[in-house]
Amino acid sequence: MLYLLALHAFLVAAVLYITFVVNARDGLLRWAGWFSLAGFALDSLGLVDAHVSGGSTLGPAGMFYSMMAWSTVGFFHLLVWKKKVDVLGVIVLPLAVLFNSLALLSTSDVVTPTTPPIWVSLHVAVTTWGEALFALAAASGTIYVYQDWRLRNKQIHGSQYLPDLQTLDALGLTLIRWGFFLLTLGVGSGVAAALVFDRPQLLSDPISMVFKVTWGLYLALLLIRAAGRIGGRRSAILNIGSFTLALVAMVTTFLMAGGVMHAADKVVG
Amino acid sequence: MDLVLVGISHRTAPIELRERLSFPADELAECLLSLCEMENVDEAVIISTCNRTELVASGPAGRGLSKIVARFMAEDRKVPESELHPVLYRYHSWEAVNHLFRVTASLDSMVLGEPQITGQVKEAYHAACDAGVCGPMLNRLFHKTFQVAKRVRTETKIAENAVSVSYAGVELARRIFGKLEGKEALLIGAGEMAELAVEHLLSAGLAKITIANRTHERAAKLASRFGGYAIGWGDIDSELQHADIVISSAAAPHYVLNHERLESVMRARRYRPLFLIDLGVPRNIDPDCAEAEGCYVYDLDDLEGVVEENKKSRYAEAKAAELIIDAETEEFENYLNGLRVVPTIVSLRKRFDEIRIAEIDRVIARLDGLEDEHRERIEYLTTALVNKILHEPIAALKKAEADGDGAEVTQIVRRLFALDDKDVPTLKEIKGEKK
Repeated sequence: MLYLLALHAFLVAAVLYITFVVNARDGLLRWAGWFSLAGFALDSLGLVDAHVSGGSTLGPAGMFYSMMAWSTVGFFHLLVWKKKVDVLGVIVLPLAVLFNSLALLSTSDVVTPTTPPIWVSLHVAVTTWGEALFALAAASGTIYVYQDWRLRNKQIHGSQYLPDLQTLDALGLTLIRWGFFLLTLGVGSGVAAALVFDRPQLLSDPISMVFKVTWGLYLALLLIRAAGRIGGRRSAILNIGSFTLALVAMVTTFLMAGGVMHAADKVVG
Repeated sequence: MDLVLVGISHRTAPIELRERLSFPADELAECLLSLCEMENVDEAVIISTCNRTELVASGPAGRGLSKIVARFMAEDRKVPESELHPVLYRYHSWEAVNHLFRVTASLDSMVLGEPQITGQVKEAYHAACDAGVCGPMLNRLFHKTFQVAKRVRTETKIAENAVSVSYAGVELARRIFGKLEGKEALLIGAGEMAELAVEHLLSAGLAKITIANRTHERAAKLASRFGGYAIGWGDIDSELQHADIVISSAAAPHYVLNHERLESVMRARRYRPLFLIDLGVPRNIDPDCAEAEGCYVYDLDDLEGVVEENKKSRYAEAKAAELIIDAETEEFENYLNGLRVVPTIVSLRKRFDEIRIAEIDRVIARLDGLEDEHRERIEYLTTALVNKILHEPIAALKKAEADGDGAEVTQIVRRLFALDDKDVPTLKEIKGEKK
C-alpha cells in the first residue's frame, strides 16, 4: 500500500516536472518538489515497515527496485538542496516511477525475509547507492545534451531554468566518481563474501555479473574522461549510454534469474 | 483632494526639449520648495531622467492644480508655454496613479523592463522627502508605487533576458560557463561592438582579456584600456588554448578561424568549452567551427535573433504586468475616492462644532457661578450629542462614495448644511495650525 501511494506521488511529481519544462512556472517546480518528497517519505515508510515486520511481499528484485527509487530520489533532493538543479527531476522522477512500478510488478504471495546479516545489508546498500548515483549522473548528462543542443541550435529563449553546461558537466563527473567508488565497495564486498563463505558460484551469479560489467563500463568512462579524449557532450552521451545499458541488463537479469537478495540468501544459507 | 501628474517623456518630446526641461539634481530641492510655495500645491515630487521629466503633485480639489504645475514647469525651466503644451501630458487622479505605476515598473521605458527607472523614481521621492515636501498623500502613493514595481518584477519575467547584442553575449556565456569569474577572453580585432561586449564581460567578472590585432599598437592601446594583454596576430592559436570566450571583429576578407584549425585547438585544450562570438562583417569565423566538439559559435545575426526573441518575451510579459498594474490602480483609486468625502466630513464636523460652541457660550453667559465641573459636563454632553447626530450622515457619505454616488450625495450634504469650499482646510493650513 505504501509503495503504491509512493508510486502515485512520484507519478504526479514526474508530470509536474515535465510540465515545468514546457511552461517554466516556479509554482510547478515547488509542487513537484513536495510531491516528490511525499513519495520519498512513503517509500521510506515502506522500507522501514518491511524491515520492522521482518519480511516483504515485494521479493528480492522488488526490494532492490524499491531501494533504487528511494536512493535516487533521496540523492536527488540532497543535490537540489546543495546545487539547485531541480530540473534533473524531469529525468529522476520518471525513473523513480519506473523503479517503483517494477518493484510492485515483482510482488508475490511469498514473504521474502528482510533481515539479512548486517554485511549483506551494507553490500546491497552501497551497490544500490552506487547505481542511484549513476542514475543521477545520467539525468545530469541528459540535461547537458539538451542544453548543448539548444545552444548549438540557437534556441536560447525559454531555457533560463536549465543549469549551465559547466555545472552539469562537473556534476555528472562528480556523481560518476562517487557512484564508481560505492559500486567498487559493493562489488568488492560481494567478491570478498563469496571467498570468505566459500561460495565461488556467487562470483558468476548473473546479477553480480551485471554489476561487475557496470563497474567495468564506468571505469572505462572515467579513464577516457581522465585522458581528455572526449568533451562534455560525448562524455554526457557515453554516461547516458552506460546507464541505459546497465539498467536494461539489470532488469533483464532480474527477470531471467533471481537477484542480489536471492544471491545473498544463498550466501547466508 | 486632487492628485496630478504633469510631464513630458521620450514618447512626446524630442531630446533637445527634454534636455531643457530636465531638473538638475543639485537644483532639485530648491525647485521642489518653489513648487510647493505656489498656491494650492501641498505636496510634490519631481522625477527627472534623461527620458522624462514628470511632476507629481497633490492639493485641494477643483483649483486647477495641473495648470499651476504646468505653469511652474514652463516658468522654472524657462520654456515658453506655447512650446511646452503640445508635448505635455496631464493625468488626474487614477490616471496619474496608473501612469506612475507604469513608469516605475518600466512599462513606459524606451527599453521595456530596464531596471534603472525604479531607482531613479526612488531617488526623486527621497529628494522630495529630504526637502520636506512629501505629505501623507504622496508618501502613500510612492510607497505603493515601489510595492507595485517589485510585484511586477517578481511576478513577471519582464526584466529577464538581454535586450542588447553586446549583453546577449554575456548572457550566452553564462549559459555555458555559469559564473564568469576567473574566465579568460580573447579579442580578435577591435570593433566598437566587440569593445562593448568586452566591457560587459569584464563587469561580469572576467579575469583576463587578451587582445590580438594586426596593428600591434592598436592592440596595446586597447589592452591598456581594459587592463589586458596585447599579443601578435601569429600568437592567436596558442592563446586559443587558454581562452574561454573569443570575440572576433576583425576587418578580414576571409575567415580568421576555420574548422580544421579549431579542431586541433580543441584537441589541445582537451575539448574544454569555447564560446566564439563573431561580430565581424564579413564573418571572421567559419560557421562549420560549430561542428567541433565543445565549440559554440554565435555570429551577429544569431545574437540579434536572441535579442529579438528576448524583446518579444518582454512584450508578452508586459501584458501580465499591465494586469497587475490595473488591479493595483483600482485599489488605489478606492483609497483616493475615499479621500474625496473627507473634506465634506471635515466641514460638517466643523460647522456642527461651531454651532455647539456658540450655543454653550450663549447658555453659560446666562448661568452665573457655574462650576468648572458642570461646565465640563456640558461640554461632554454636547460633544457626545453632536457625534451621535453626525454618525449616520457620515456613514451614509462613506457608503455613497463606496457605491459610486459620492459626488451626488456630497453635493446634497453641502447644500443642506450650507457648507462652503472655503470651510475645507488645506494641508498647508493644517501644517500651519500645528506650527
